[in-house]
Amino acid sequence: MKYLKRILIAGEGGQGVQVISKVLTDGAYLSGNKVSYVANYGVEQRGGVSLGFVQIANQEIGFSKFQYADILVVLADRAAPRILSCIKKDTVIMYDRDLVSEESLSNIKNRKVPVVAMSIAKEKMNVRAFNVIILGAILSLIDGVSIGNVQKALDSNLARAYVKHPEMEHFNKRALEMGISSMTHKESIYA
Amino acid sequence: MVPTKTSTSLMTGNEAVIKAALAVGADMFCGYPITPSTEILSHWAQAAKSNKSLVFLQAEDEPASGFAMIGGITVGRKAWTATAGVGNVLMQDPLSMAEAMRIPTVTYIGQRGGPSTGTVIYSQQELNLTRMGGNGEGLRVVYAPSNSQELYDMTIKAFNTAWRYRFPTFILSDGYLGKTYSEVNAWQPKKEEIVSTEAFFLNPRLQPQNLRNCYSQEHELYEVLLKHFEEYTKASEKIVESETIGSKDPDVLICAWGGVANSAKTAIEELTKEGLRVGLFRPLTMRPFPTRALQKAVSGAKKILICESANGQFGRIVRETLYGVCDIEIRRLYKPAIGIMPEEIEQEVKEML
Amino acid sequence: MIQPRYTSSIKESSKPSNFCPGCGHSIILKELGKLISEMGIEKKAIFAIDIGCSLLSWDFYDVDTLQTHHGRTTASAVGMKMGKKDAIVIAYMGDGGGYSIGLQNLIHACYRNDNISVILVNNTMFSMTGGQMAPTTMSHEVTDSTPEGAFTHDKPFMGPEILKSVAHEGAYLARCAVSSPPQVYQYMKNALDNQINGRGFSFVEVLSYCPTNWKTDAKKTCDFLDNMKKEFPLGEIKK
Repeated sequence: MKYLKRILIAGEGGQGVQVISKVLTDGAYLSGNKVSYVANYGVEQRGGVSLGFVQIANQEIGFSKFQYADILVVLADRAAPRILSCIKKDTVIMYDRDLVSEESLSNIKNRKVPVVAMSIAKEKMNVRAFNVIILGAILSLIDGVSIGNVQKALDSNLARAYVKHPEMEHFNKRALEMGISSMTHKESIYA
Repeated sequence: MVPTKTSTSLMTGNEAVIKAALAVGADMFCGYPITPSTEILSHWAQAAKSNKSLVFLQAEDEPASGFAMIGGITVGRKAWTATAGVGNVLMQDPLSMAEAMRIPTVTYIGQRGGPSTGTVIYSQQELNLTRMGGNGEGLRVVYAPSNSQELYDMTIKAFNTAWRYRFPTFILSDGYLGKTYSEVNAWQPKKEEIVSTEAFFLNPRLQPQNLRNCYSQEHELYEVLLKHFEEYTKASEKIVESETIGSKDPDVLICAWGGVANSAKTAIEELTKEGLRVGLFRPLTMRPFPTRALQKAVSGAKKILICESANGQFGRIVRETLYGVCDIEIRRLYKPAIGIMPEEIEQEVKEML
Repeated sequence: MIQPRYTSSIKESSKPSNFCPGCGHSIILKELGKLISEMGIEKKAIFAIDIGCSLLSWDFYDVDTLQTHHGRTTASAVGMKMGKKDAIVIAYMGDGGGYSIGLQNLIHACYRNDNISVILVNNTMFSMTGGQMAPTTMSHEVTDSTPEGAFTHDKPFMGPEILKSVAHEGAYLARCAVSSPPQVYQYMKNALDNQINGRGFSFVEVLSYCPTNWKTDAKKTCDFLDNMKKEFPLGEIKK
């Protein structure tokens, strides 16, 4: 049975879009999937729109970019106009309610999953954990990727960052669990 | 060369190129930073840090890196470079010297939007420049990978081809290919499968060499060129590569290369599921161009769709190849500097039928 | 009758060479040939040349020689030296190729202290193409592209002096003139010794004759050079 999930993560430069795209890809690969990930960005190092195209499948993946996403994750208002053309009938749209205004997604009739990852991160952990909460939430929408492998991928990718900010290791673990368990336990990351 | 699954892991296309270059014995890299090929330079600098037998030079500009690369090759190094966009334009200075003097070079090109600074992202607009750049006759070999595994495989092939036949050889990639992160089998070629270098200079087996690229008389140059053309034609028989897939008598034959061919393959999968008869002709070497294979591929086709992320640089070669050979409808999906998704190709094919 | 004897490094079969009568290149190349033979480095040296009049020194020696593109001789020499550390790499160029199109590479090679030896032949113009202005053209000098002798600066380009500002401790920078072949020999020897001892970048500018483009007879050619010595001081600028 062919399984292919196309996940597009869209945000601003500096929000960690590429980090979570890579961690998600690594975690999915460790879980035995075929994977592909490519970034799309402009000349600016900071600011500007940052897109991560992630594909997770149980057979060979073709082109690394795609027109329409199965899961669209929007983390900044600035990214919204760029991704409007990536929405098809059954695209699920996850977005952070504090960072993306209702207006920018107003005309869209798809299933929407608003989250309050930023305010939870600020309130309960550290603002840096925000994108890991999002990562956990994405996991709850896909099959075939274990949280254990994502945790491994997170640790491996952020090892150098943890040297500078050792407290993040603990926060990120909690953030990941909080994100993924919210679907089953109806925890408050959903607005 | 049969790959064994010993080192399969996730890596970007640019990382695959570095790994392949090291696997095939490259030992000197001279370059200048330019997106989207900069990672090649940084990864090599890292490799040279831990392996002191590797030589690394970040030169003051592209011409300097190209000429330093050539200098290294003359003394026996397996030297190479990587560039993109305007850097590719500047690199034509040293590359045309290499072409004239039959100096084996390997150059990785990460195509980006053009002309001029364009974008740092992606295109297929450096096809003309890479195939026929400089003020020469295109005595070059250009490999066109379509995914990360081919980036790895063709890099190994490029080095062997360059040192076997002594024409400037290229790996013509693009920003997306270079930055796509996916699974690659980084197989190690056996020692006997690697073509070794031979120094031009300070070589005890040779008399002192006086190498030049400048001639006093027209006929001197003409004679030299005739000899080169003959050797190129002979070598082409062994080098040229292409693939034709899908339906043998397609209603639409898609012609595409590089990353766009990968997109086309995905599109063909979907279209075939819907019962449509579609095929793909893909050159693996853009130079020498697989003329005969293309002419054969169109023989059973009803219509042709040319897809490229440029404004006809590939299309012109196709049309030139098919002139007088067939008269069928040729449709153009030209999107300079923009990626072409499988869905767009599917749409175009359906409109043609 | 006594026949001239060529040193072992000079290729007899390519003589007489194609330089103009009175050209300074032949003097310099003869001294360099003597030097290569006397130091016994024929099988260790690589001679890289530009495409101006220095091009005519292609096939001059029985030494590995690479003729490069205009202004790219220094970069090619750097690659050769990096590729084979024990090679003795000599880059030979004119003031046009060296201080105009190739200046970037000279500055960076000096700045990196690349262990190559550069010999730059200065006759104040681009001679191969008919005597156009070069960075070293002197104030009021009439050339093919400055028929009125007009200038934006009073002082010509002072190569070794400018290189000194980015030179490392071990660099050797000097200027001499073809009117004194022994000094040309000595400074070139110092440059090669500098390279062999691994001290770093060595550079010798040699003021040279060009009666063809200066449009001077024998006496006026020597006068022209004497005049050049007033603008371009001789000596070892850095050792």
